[in-house]
Amino acid sequence: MKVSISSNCKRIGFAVIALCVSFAWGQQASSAPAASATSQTTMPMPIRAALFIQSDRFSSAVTVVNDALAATQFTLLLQDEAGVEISKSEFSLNGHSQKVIEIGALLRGPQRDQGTVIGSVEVQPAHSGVAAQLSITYTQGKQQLHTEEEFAMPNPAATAIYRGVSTKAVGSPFIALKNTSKRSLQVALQCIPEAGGPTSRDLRLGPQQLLFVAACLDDGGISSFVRLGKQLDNSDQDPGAVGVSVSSDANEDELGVFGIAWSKFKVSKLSSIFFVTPDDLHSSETAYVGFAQGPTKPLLGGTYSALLAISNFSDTAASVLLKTSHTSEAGSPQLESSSVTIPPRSSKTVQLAAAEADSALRNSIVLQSSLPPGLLMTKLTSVPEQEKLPILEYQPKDTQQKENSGLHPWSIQQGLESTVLLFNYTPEEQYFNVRVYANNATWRKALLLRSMETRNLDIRHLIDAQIADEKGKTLPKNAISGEVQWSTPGRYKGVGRMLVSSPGIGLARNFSCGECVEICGVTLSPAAEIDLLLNGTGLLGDGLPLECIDAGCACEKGDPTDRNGGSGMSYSWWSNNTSIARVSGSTTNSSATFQGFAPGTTDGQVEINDGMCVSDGGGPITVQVPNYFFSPSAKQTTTPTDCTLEGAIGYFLDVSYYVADANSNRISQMGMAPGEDVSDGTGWHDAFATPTTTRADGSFDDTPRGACYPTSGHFCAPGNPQSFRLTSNGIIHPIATNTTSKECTDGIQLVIQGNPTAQNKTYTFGNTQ
Amino acid sequence: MNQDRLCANLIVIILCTCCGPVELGFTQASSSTDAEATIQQIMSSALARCYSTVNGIRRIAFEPATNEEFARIKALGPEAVTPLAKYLDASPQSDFSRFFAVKFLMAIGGPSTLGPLKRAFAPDQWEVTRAAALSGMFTVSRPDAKPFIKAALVDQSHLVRQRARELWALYQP
Repeated sequence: MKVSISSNCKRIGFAVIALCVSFAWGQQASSAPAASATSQTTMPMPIRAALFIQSDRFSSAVTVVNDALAATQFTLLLQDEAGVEISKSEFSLNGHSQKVIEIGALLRGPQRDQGTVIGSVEVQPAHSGVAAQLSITYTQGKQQLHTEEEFAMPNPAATAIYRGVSTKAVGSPFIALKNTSKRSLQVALQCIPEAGGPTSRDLRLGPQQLLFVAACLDDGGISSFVRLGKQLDNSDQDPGAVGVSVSSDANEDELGVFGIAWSKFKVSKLSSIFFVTPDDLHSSETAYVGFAQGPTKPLLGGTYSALLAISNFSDTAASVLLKTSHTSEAGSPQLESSSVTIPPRSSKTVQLAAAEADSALRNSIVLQSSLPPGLLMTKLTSVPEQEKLPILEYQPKDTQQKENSGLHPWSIQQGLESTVLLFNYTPEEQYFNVRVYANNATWRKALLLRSMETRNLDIRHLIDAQIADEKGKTLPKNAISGEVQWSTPGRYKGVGRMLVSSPGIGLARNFSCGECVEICGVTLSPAAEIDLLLNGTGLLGDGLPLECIDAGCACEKGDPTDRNGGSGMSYSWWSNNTSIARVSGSTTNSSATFQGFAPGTTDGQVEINDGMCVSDGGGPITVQVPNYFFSPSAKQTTTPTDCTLEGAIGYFLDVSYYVADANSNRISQMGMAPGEDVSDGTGWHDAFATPTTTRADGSFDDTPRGACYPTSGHFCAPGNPQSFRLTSNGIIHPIATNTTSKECTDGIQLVIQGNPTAQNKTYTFGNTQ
Repeated sequence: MNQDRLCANLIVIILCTCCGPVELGFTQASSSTDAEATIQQIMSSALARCYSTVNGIRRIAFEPATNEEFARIKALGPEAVTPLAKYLDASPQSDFSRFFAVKFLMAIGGPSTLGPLKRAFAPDQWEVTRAAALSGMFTVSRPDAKPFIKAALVDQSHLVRQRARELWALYQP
């Protein structure tokens, strides 16, 4: 059986690194399609980060993202090592926006003054769809080191067992263990270093206690960690990979875990351990998207090597197949395969070959392990040759994770760059529907990725070059931050992440949280309803999938996150009453052409399937038969020069009409051609109206209507009688309306008749006696 | 004065004024001349139908062009635009011929008609022609027509204002 290690951001749980997305517990599981989108009323669970560090050299900041359409609020709680609340703050957040909160600004004087402060963070959102990530920054002179801690969403039904790998850790990785329960917990730590044998130690955690310890040594707390960081550059150690296992008698929601280490490459760097709950893994296949390897100009401006740290936590040797894919501007992705064997209870560091690497980070890798899920863990790190550049750490992704999206903050403030990286690890091409939100604007594009292709998207370039999306829209030129979402129609199609970087300050921040984004409703736009003429046709649609964040990944209704779906979904259209209207042509496009067969109203329906869930929607179709012309008004016009030059006098009108059916309903369609016959032997005049065909509201004018006479005194004569017809789409509809008139030198009378009695009309201007 | 002769003289004056010398390449000149001749013939026929006699009294009334006349104009396509545009400045002024020209331009459609339609909206034109020109511009290009329609909302002509209001409403979502 294949096995490998991967990390699922959402399900990592409260233990180790934190889950990054809140979870609405208590939603009823259902496989039934969502008929409409409504928010659940259950309160979402809090999300937690086990560790923050604040001192003269360390600072911590929380980035909170609202992935939902609607605005929300959240409470941010800080607890000290003993579990005592030291700060509680309320915040609000607009839909699809982010907020960065500096922990230091929340600490009161006494806490700030006591040197190094460590503690835990809890975010309590009012609605689901809120994600968070904690950034830890270490400042040493002009250089800054960064590492990331994702907020965890614990699974209360799972036992708290976590495994992760540290890369090139000097001494020992450090681990933060946060007891969120009111009871004491027993915790067992095991380390599997690359050099030397496994070690283990047992710990006891008091209620609410935060313990920060060296994972592989018997002593060492936060002061040791700080001291070690100051001495690192003098160290001549050549450390290797270290596997760390945490087991306990707790459930996931009782124990939070985060790992941090000083990693020694050319110089020391701060690094994280991405802990994974083995039970949350669905496969032994892990994917990493968009890693730096080889020259990376201009984005990162240096040359990188990619190091893969692997730990085998089982008593069986593991065979690991490494399938690397490099995408270039043209041609198919270049694939490389190699394998490595990891002995039982051991760790190993593998440097990936860089021969075909792409300089724009379009390098991805899939690891297939021979062990069952959760027994082999990996961590991929890109290490720069240039000392001042940042390392890049990547979250492992289980290729069978249910989450089909990424929901990430982005920013280009103060020289930051934001790059979306997407990877299709399947044998077929796949759509990635990308949405970039900023300043209440949305940029959308469906990207079709080839098998094993990695695609990048530079947010700054989208804004600076005003790149149009698939609807021709661009992001505001003054946009500097927002949210990015990508999702695939269907599960197990691909992975993605957001890189926020600023090499000048040693920053390369990775955001890779995702959720299940599923169809939960359908709206029709721009044609939500249509009026058809008998035998005429019209377009209904597009059918736009409403998408929701579904914490249960089971087609439940969650908080709406987008109203406009994307590509790669399947459509099926039908009419609720085929005797009134039927689909004419394809039934599987995003819109459908309907044809009217009988007067009446029915609904045109569409069912949209996103590969996971199904929703339907529709709009009314009214089939009308033109019957008569109704005139709401007539106005006198000035006399044409053709009369005045001859000294002729008379009356001329502009007569307004619109088209109505037999039930006196207005037919608001453009393009219908009214015709008249004035019994003068010249036949039908199908372009007599002004404009020649009806406006969008079905109106037209008959002008100039009248006559003049070059005679003195009062004179009247009958005008030509009018008969009417209407032509639309080549079909001629008889019209019941007809007119007679009396045209005088000083007046005019127009009699409009043949309509339903109340709709007939007589206009009289001046003297027509 | 004999009314029939007056009318005929007017038509001849208008047509002669409209059809000035053309200095183009041979093929273009030939093609353009053909179009002008066709339009001249159609305009002449259409205008002639506007004059009749009832009870011994001369009757002047606008009678629309026939389906066949519209079809012939449309068959000429953009080539007919320039010859038709000349009628908008013809002298002496015939509001009927100008209105026919606008109707034919609207039947042809397309961007090349936008300029002549703007000319047809000028204040020196008959208000019926100006109102029709607004509709024509709206059909050709809503964005291009928008400033004209907006300005027409306060036009001196009640008819033009009314048409502008109707068209302006169609801009609203």
